[in-house]
Amino acid sequence: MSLWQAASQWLAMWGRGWNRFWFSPRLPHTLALVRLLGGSMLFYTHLVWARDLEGFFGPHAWIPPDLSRQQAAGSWAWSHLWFVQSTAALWALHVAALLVFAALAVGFFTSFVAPLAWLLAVSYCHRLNGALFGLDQINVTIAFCLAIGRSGDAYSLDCLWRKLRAQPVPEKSVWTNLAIRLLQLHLCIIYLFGGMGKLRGETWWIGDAFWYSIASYEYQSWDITWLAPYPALMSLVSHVTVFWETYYCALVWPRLTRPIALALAVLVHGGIAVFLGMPTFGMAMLIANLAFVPEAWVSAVVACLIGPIGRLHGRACGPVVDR
Amino acid sequence: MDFFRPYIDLAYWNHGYFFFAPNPGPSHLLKCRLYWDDGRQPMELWFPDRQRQWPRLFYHRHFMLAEQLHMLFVPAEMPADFPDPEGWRRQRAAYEARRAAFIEHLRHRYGAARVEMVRVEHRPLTPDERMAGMALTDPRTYRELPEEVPGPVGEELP
Repeated sequence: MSLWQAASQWLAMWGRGWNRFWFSPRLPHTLALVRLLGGSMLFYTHLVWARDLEGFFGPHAWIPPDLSRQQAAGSWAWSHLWFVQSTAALWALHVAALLVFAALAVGFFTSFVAPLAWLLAVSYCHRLNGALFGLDQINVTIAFCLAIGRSGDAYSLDCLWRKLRAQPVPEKSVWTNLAIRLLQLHLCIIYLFGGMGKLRGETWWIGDAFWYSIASYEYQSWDITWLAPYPALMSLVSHVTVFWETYYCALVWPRLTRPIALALAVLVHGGIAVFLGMPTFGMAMLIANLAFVPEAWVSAVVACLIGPIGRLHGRACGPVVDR
Repeated sequence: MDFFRPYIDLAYWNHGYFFFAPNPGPSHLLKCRLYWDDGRQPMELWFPDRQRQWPRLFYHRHFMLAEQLHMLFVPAEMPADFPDPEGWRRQRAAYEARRAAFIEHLRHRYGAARVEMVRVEHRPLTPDERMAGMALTDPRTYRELPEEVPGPVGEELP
């Protein structure tokens, strides 16, 4: 075999792998569960703004519309909320946004509301720069992927509606696979940069970082500073966190190490949710991690969890068979 | 990168992912004192405040307002060794504008005649301090930050 033939075969193999990775049709169940949970998180995140809508969006907000717009000057950021002055209009738009997020969560006109939910989530972020944190970044990432994939093809009102009208239920879709692949790659990038950021900090090298995270009164939601006499344990948690975060992008792909990477994700984000006062952020990261859970598992677990409704839905949307 | 700038900006990808990096450190709070002209006693408010702001996400939004105001801080007088004078002017203007907006928000909300706002740094205890029985909210762990002195630069938020 000539060098040219070998190179051609190698390139063809990579081309087939590329196409298989991005363009293989995929069943909707995992993305649908991400939609159900991620849509609920988007709804809740935005519902909480209603606690003080005037205070965060009104003309005398913490960061008023003009200042928010000025902060974004020179960038391509844009928000419809920069132009809302009246309280009534603000409430009307906010309620409409909540309805869109609720519709996304339950899968009602999903192919229409999913892109709309993403646009709205992004627009809120551009308006609220100065009060945002990791939760908003993950919300937008999930919403982006939901806007691309066919997340309404399972666990949705759309799906039940098709059943009632005896219409065929969509099965595998390339768009669903694209959405899942994008979410998987986004997670790898997020963790890689989070891990590299930690490698710049000496407390993560020394092993003190875990202590200084749990000893922050403002973050803390459950006091576990009784761990103070156990420095070796705290160092271990710090180092495992950095190792896991930095190498997640490698560990999560092989079947052998994927369960370990995902189990550590549950421990780290569960810990953040329970002990560090960020239950929403912790849950949003776990929702995103669902992208690595096979459709057959999701289908089986959901059916088991919701029992009779699951059986009804199973009939509506068809069993998971990896065709 | 400039080619992708519109997409990155519009889609809100224009941020980094840090999550307690590079180091978990002290928290930054806002201590606000409100005054009225009608003889009412001055009132002190803290942001964030677990007792006043709920649910937890709502509290966290106020926490982020305080933290991100602090992150914007650069001193009123440019330090002699500051590497980017134009950057300093922009950031100082951004800090002053946001601080003024916070004060105006509180003044409008509570109908106050005057609002004083101080950034407060709250450091976490060391393990030794904790084992010695010190409370996380010990008054010695709070420090008011003057407006003239540079604050730490480059700490990112989770």
